[in-house]
Amino acid sequence: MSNKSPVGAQHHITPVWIYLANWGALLVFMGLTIACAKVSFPGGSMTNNIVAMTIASIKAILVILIFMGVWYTTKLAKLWSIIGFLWLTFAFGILIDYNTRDAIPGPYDDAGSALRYGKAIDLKPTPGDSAPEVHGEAKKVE
Amino acid sequence: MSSITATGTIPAAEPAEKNYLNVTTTFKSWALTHDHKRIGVMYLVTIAIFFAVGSLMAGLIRAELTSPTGNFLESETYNKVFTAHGVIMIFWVLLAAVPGILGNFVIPLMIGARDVAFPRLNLLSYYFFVGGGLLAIAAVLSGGVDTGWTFYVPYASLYSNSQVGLAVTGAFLAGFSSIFTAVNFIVTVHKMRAPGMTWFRLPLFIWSAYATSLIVVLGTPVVAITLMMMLAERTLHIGFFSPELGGDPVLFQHLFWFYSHPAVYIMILPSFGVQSELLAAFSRKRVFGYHFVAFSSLAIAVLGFLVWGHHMFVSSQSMYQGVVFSLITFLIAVPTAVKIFNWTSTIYKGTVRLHAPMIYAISFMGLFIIGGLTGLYLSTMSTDIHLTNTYFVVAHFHYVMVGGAITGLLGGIHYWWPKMFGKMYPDRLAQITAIIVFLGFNLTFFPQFIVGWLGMPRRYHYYYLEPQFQPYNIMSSMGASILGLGFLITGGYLIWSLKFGAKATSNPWGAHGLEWTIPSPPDLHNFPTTPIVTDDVYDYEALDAAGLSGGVVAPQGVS
Amino acid sequence: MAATGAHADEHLEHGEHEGPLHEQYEDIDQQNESYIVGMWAFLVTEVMFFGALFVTYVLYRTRYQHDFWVSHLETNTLLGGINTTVLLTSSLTVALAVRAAMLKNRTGVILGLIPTLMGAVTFLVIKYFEYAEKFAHNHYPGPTFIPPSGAAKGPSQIFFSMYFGMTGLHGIHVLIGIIVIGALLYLWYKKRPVVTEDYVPTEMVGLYWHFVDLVWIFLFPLYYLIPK
Repeated sequence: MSNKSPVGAQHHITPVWIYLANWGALLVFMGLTIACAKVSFPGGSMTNNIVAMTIASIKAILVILIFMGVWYTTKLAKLWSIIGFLWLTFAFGILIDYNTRDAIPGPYDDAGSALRYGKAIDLKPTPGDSAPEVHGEAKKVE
Repeated sequence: MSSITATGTIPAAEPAEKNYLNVTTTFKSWALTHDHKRIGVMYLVTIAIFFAVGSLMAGLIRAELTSPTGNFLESETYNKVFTAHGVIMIFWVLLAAVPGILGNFVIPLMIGARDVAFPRLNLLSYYFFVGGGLLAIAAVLSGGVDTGWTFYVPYASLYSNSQVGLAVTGAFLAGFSSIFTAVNFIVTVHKMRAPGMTWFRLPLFIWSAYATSLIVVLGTPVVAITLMMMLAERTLHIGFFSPELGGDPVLFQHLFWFYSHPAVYIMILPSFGVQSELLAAFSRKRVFGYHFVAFSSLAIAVLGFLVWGHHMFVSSQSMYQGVVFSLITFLIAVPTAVKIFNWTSTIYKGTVRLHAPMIYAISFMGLFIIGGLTGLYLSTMSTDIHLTNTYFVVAHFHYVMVGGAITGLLGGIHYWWPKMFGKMYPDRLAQITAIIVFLGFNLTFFPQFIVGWLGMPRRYHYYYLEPQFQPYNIMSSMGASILGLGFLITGGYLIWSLKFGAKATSNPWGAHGLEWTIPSPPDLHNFPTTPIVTDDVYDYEALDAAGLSGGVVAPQGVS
Repeated sequence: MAATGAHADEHLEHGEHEGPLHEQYEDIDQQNESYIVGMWAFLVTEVMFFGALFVTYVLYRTRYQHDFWVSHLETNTLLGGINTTVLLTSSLTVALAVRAAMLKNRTGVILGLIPTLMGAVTFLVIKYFEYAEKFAHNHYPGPTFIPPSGAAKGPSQIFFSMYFGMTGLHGIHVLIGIIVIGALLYLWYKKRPVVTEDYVPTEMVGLYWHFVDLVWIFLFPLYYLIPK
């Protein structure tokens, strides 16, 4: 009530040709995404993924703005149409975990730079190594 | 607020007035009601029952732990008992209590609306809640669940031979119940406010309920689908998480805590709101730093989504992400501290009256500070590795959940009880009981900090290798008995007051707010005419000037 | 405000109205925006609901890129493309139906909703044939699972788990859509004032159906068009 929009503001009639044009654009983008999947872009499959997801996002935005009428709706409904997609990016933060696990600092090679995780697990402790000795010393202290 | 037009000051002493409680009396008129006040009362009764069941489980746990070798429970039974305690208390008490009971009852009254935006959805939400709860009770009765309330995979999905399916489906339904309530509150707060009720005239309970609803809407679906994926893995062997099926069990923890950490803010934020109301009403002052307290609720809602990894410091999570989560967890202490400092400043130089709700409010402050500060121990990665899965964690979250959320709930119920039922409870007895609850609570959970720090793991019922833990456990069990006694007395005098309590006036506390301008209990349609709000929130100076103070004496209607 | 005496005393229970305006609201504009915002808040939960599955998908896709590529060759791009077209077209028709509802053009609404309903049913029929093909090749995850040749068993099983999980959940949403659109069509056919007097119920169904379309827009490239 207190933030009521003027009467009829949310009652926007979109012309039919806009809907038809939007539909046509969506079909064109669908064709484009199928075509792009067959092409080998420079940069390998990651480029393909980026292209495919960009096209899908454009299609999604078209559906949201035109078909779902967010372009013409009230500010409040606009806010609530954005917020879910915004929060979804937080959920994708889960993937940061999996992408940074490899970057374990150490063990270090002779130059002092961190070995990659894949190499690090190859380092088997051998009887003469320093690591078991430290363990032994700790036992002596006990 | 004083400007509710001429009919605003209704003589509440008039007997035989029709109100929402007695306007219709058939069973159907309650079971199919769309009235937010009746739905709030139905939540009150239902949650009281679940709380009793959960407390019974807690009593079994405490009785078992008095002896280092256990007293009477098999290990597997013990697992089932603490799981039942956790599942029922979290999904059917904490998540729904304050929004379901107090939110439903007072939000439309506070903003001057005739009802919530979607009354039928509200009723549906209640039945989802009850239906889910019945499934959980059925799971307990048909053998119990032994996974812990977190349902970690792969144990819950592939190995556990207990009623995981029933309990998870129940939790799923309870989740949707809270989503419906949250959608309702969001739209109600946005669209149903009375003329003149601007955002910064909203009572702080509304702000915190709004922030809570935001978390529910954004977080609950994630855990709902995660539990469904786990259930699909369990029943259809569609692998999502179990290593045997090619999946990643840590992903389950990520998705689970992505909701379940924000969920602790779902539990505590509404009680923060109640706290603001109580301190303003019983200090007769505007809440100090109103804007800061309001926005800190939203800050907690947003930041709460960025800290889930602190439950996973000892999983195989990336240590870099762990560091970031640790840092953000420290940051979330800032908006929480903003609230605490502002509440303290609210009491300062206020006209403090120590009625029962105020005693709960003050004990909330003390208990929540302890709960919050020990959270900082746990958000520090290095100390957390020592304290993971010890009784320190148990004590920490009980200080926040019981000391915070349940104390806030009790304070709120005592504050709005005259409004809900039009009856006064014996205030002196309630004050004493509030102190009993405070003492019993501390005796229960403070020893758990110590015994956890010494290394006693949670979820174990044998500790005969460390018999020095026994005194702490006995102290804790004694405290639990006192706490239980306090809850029983509370329930007793509240029920007693329904029949024998003195009749409450429309504003027994002399408090400020639209809900206190209408009779107790309210009429079916809340307000005779749509109120027009002209004064500021918590404007106690104006209220005192108008002679509506309710006095600094005993509340009206109390002998 | 104006509607002060609107709730007469004999009107004891809320709800059960003939007209479109419910009594907790002051006017139709307030009610309409409440419904639209409420619907969007619900769609936000749907976004997060599917979002968790997309997060899971991205994790396993990056981990098992090759096996996902081999397994995805079993999906039928032609049928997937047809289904995409069907859903996009039904989105258009439901948008036109909502437009007609705003103009109170009953014939237009019915002419828009019928092809929408047909599109939804067509989608599920095609989906049925796709599923049947997977089941015929024992690509259903579980003890009897046989991976496509060239794919490792575990990762391939994850692919088909995700495939059945996500398209299945989407299919359930299509099924709910069929029920809701069918009910809406019935209400319009019967000239019930709840839909003919107010366009918002029609628009809410439209929003829901567009959301179903939206999910499929992402599912299509993720399951039918995986690059090597």
